[in-house]
Amino acid sequence: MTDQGIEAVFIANRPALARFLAARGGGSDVEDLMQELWLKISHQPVGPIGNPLAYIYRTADNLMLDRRRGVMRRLRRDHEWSELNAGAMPGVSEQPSPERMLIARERLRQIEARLDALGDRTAAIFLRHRVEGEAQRDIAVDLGISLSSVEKHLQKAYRLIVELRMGSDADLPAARRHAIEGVDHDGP
Amino acid sequence: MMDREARIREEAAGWFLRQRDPARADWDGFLLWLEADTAHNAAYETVALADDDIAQLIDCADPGPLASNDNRSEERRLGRWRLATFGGVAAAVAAGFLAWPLMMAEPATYMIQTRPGEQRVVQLDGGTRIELNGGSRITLRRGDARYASLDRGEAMFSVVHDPQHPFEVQAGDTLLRDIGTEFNVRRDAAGTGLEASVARGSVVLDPDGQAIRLDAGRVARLAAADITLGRVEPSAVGTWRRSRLVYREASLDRIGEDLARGLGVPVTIDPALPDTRFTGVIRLGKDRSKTFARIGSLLDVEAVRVGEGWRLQPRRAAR
Repeated sequence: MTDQGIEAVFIANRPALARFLAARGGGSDVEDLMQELWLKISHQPVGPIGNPLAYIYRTADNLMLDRRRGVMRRLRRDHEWSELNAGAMPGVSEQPSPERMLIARERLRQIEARLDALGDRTAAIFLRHRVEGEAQRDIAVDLGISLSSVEKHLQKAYRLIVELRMGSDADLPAARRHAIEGVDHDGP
Repeated sequence: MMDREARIREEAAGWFLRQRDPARADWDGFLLWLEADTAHNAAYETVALADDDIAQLIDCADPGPLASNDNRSEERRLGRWRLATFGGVAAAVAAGFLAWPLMMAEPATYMIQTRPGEQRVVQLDGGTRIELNGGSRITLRRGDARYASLDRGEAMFSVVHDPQHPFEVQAGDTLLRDIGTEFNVRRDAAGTGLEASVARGSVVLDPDGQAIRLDAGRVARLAAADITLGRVEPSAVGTWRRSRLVYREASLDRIGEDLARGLGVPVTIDPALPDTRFTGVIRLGKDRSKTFARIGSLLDVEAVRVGEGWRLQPRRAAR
């Protein structure tokens, strides 16, 4: 597939792509965003692309995510994580201070513990998928469960991570209670 | 059961996952979902940003070599992340979708840990079982069911013997190798002391060095370079799994650590208490107040509640 090909696909799918950018939060900037998208796909040195339309959509999706990240960086100056991570943006070479490092480690431990509380299987599937980079299909085959169950586990894990990020710790007491009951199951 | 926001979050996570899997990405379906509700796009972006946050936390927790253009160092770095923390939930995102195959080439380890007061059972391939006491952590190797590192806390190992592939437990600097067995390994809070007790079969302690063989009913205690061997009633090994703590001549400090681990509350020992030794059984019950009252009378101390935790101190009559 040549660049010419990608551009032809872009033009043929212009209305749908504009709808996509609008639905992804483009609002009144859709025309400008279409220009940006065009520049990105037509200037990127790409090898053969099996599915050019999917490639364009993914580029459009990333374009909107990058925009959102830029807004977030400006808005979240006082947010605990962004403060912690200031200077640790991808591509920025700055060593975090030892203190920030410790805080980050502690935070990761907390997140890991919360993931574990969702159940062995959910935590394990999440780590295999995101850490090992194993395809969901391979995990499903390995565990002898359906692809949709793997996805359900991952969705649960992501929901937790989102809720942790939003500071919604409503389910913490339940998790703690569960943990305490675990040790007492045959107590008096 | 699930409220609307929670449902949207899960759907958003589903789309986030599917759209990154070329085999399943469905852009038409995704567009329709986005258009169905303006909250959908916000939820989708929140999932992506949460993923970013974790990638950055990992970067911050262990920045590693900064020559990130070099694929090999990136690979090592990802491997180290996994060892150091929970290693890159979103390292995949940080490294980019295309870097995933790199990560699969690394020998993978993963950690399982418990909070104080929590217990977990881990079943390894080949029938080996690891029961993890509270406040403990083990590191396992993916694809190698014959190794575990006890990073902290206490665990009971029930190992199915395989003469070709002995099971090894690394506990700090100490290595234990099984000869088909059930054994308990406990590290103290400081991480320097180690106690290995055998319920069944045999274990070789420090197999490549002193090679001390521990048979059933033996216990080895390591403190710094000293190893003390003792006897233990085999059925008393790992009784924490049934909420029983069995002691022979145990110090209050040690009992305090076990109580904190098993009950999930901080336990402090008043330094004014004499260095007495306890022999007997402590039963951990559902009701903490009752449990601590019982512990108080067993140990002849006063157990008082201090904030979230408990303190063992001299009885008032004894003051």
